Amino acid sequence: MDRSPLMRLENINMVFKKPGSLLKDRNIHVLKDINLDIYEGEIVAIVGESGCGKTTLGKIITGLIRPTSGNVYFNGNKVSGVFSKDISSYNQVQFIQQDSYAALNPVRTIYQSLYAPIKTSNRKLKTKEIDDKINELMALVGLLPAEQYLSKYPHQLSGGQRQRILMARAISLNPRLIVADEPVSMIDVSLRLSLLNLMKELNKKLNMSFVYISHDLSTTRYIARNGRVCVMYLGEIVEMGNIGDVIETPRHPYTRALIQAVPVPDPEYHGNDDLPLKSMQLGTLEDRGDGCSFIERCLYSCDKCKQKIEHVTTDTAQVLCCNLENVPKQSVYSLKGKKK
Amino acid sequence: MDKIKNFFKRTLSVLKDFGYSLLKGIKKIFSNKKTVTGAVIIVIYVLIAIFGPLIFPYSTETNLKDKYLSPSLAHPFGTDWLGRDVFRQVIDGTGNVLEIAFYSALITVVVGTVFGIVSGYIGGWVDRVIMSVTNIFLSIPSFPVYLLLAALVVIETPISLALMISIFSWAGLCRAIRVQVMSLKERDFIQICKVMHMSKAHIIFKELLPNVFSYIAINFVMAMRNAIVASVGIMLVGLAAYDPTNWGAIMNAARTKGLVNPNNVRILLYPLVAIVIFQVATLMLANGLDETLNPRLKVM
Amino acid sequence: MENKNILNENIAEFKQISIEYPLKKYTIKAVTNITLPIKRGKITALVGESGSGKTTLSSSIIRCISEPGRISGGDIYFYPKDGTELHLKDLSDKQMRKFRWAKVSMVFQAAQSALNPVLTVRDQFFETLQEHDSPLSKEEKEKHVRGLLEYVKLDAERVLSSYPHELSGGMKQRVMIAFSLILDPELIILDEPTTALDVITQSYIFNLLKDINRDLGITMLLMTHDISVVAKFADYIGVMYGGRLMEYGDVKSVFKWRNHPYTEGLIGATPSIIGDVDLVKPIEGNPPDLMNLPSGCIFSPRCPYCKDICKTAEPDMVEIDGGLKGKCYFYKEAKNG
Repeated sequence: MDRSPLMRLENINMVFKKPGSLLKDRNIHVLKDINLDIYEGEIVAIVGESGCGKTTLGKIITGLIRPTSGNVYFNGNKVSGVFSKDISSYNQVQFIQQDSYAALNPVRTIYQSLYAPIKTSNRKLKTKEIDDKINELMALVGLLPAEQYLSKYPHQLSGGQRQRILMARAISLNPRLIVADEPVSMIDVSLRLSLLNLMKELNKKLNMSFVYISHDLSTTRYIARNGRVCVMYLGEIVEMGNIGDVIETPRHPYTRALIQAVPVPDPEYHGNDDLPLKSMQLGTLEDRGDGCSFIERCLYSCDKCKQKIEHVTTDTAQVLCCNLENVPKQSVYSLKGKKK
Repeated sequence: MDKIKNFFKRTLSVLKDFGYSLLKGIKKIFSNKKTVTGAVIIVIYVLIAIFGPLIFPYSTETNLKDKYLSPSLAHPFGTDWLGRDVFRQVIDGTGNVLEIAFYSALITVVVGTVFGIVSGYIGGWVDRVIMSVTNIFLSIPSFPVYLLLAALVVIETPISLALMISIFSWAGLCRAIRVQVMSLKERDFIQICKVMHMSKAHIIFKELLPNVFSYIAINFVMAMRNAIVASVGIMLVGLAAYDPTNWGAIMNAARTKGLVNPNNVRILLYPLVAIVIFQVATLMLANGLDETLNPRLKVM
Repeated sequence: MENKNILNENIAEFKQISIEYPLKKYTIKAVTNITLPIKRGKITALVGESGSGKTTLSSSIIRCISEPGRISGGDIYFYPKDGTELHLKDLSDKQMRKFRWAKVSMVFQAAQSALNPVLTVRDQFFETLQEHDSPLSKEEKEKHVRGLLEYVKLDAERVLSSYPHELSGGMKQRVMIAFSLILDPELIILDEPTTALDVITQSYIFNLLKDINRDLGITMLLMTHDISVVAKFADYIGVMYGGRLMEYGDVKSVFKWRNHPYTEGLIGATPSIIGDVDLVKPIEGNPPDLMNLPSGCIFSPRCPYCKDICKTAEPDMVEIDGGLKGKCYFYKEAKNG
């Protein structure tokens, strides 16, 4: 691809210090050597279990926290966080959080919550213009008639409605990239899909890039469709590629286990119950070496795994594994084993 | 013409909305019986403080021949050792006590809130400095310092006494507010404000402050309660006897004239009962506010 | 052995049960007139969105409905191994305390809050045994508890002397499962046991539960909002909506026929990692407001097949061949067509 990326993450590392023994702090290595390019108008999904660092990565992309080392480029310019006055990224990256109730100030009305950011972004706007803009946003996220919602407080709305308000607020500043952190995990099943459809629609209509963070591969497959997926394990991207390909033929041993663990809404499909894993114990984030972090759980580990490993490019994805030729290539259907 | 009409229409609707929500808030607050009882008693005290001295003017004139009179129609609470009317003394002292309580609560809440928010929101070395200062104020015993201050400066206005009391009461509130702000600032809706590049002033005044407002209101009432205890205590031991009608001063006078005399015991009781009723009222108001404003205590 | 022959095929049965929450200004009907069997030795799943009443219904078995809820009609029957029949409504509070955990235990969604944070795992197990007058000696108790923890594949030595916060989410949930087995119950209620956990841990937990079901013959009642989990794990399914049971049947048939429009919508609205993504489509509209339920069939405002009759009166439960039951005027026709 010769287009230049909208956002580029380069060798991002994130280390938190925790008080340990008297002499030495414990280093918690939450993110390790993350490289990721996000292009204009694409949907990138980040998938992983809790504790894999996906939320931290999301916060780094929005600029809420600064990485311990590594660079973030927006539109080719280096940026350094929310409170920097970098014109290049100013308000161009927005954030949709998981808990729609916590993301809205409980003592402010929806109108106040939507009005303030627009006013702050452009002091010259008159109230009338902002009102028009808000009505337009509410129509865009499907909350009509707008007056019915604007004067309410967050607790008076349902989870689905609040999540739509969050989307309206995120797009109100015309960002080019939106990070959505588990936006539907707290929403009722029957309402999830319409929210995902709304996000897809915004992505297409406004050409906004989305970073969709989730632990749920099924909804991720639905929203990202032809986009890319990054599978994270203990702060590393272990597999990255087109989401269809990665799910169809997962290559990394961890991705294989993950995909086999996802239940399918069809009772005919559950043949193989034993996951291809050695143990269910997650590895440690503390004082990590160069070796593969999946080594203790991997069925295919070898001697090389203890040395520094690099991403291998296969025909479908980039995989962080040194022993790929020994990992069986199996499709999702045979992993699931349709029962007769 | 239309423009003006529209303007009036809009203003009217905004006013109507505001009035409506205000009414709803007041209705909600006063739906609690404790709040109403507490508030009514406090209002009565305030009315007594304002109109009492006008109806029952108090004179400092001494009349030794009428000393230690028993309660009668002319002197409902009797008279003291100088023949002064105790009822009028107590009424005259109400204003003074309330003034001290109000000023002290105001100073406590303003100082405590400002430093609490600054400390909690900014964090880092600012937080460490403010916290060490509050530690000092919380660990020094207050009474010896009052003794020292009383010896050094002349206390002659309610504000100066209120200042003296507030010195030791703001630190506790400051720490409590700080903790609240610290947990609020990690909440998602503040994080999003940062992503949206809202100003610090907006985050503090429009997002944080309304969330701790109910807490501040409750603490204002509690600070008033504390201030009355402290001011009467200070007066009672004669550390700042600038006003002879202050309840503490009345009690002090009765005490120094000897409690062997049952008349003095009686005189001592009047301001004491007045204080107890006020205390109960403030406690009821604070508890009632807590019940309606604190979402964690809300029951279905 | 004689008992076995006459043993009811159900271990418990809800009969016309209704549960209400009387509040200050109005009364919320959380569960309305539900009749539901729980088959002995099988895994029955109750699936529904938030507010569908599934938690209220299942916690009524052990009389753990949150305040101020109360059963306003109907009864719950329980048929223990000894061949007797218990009317759970008639049990005194003392009898209920004995019954709870000894016959029916529960695994909660939030293992964190279900375990006492200031007691070690050992203390909590022993306390429960103590409370139910266990005849075991101290050594036997220790052996019993260790056996259970090893059964759920935990390192008993380490876990017993740990406090809850020292365990990971998956470990805590397994401790809870061991804890639910401690008095050898006949029925375990699982309230969203893996919602807070990752898919890999979830898969392990469900394999474990399936083993318990198969090896120990313990009946399970699972509550979940995730229909994929039901497909993987359960034998029977009850679909709940707005406090009503919309459909009941064995999992394979329910998924295959998709007779009820709500079940069909629910399955159709669940994205999968297999199959055509374009076939997935949302259920239009919003979940019902329990304080303001629509007239007629409560699913009618969202139902794509809604006819005039659906808006007038609520349909009755219809039973068709194969034991499938559904609350819909067109239940049978839908199957044929």
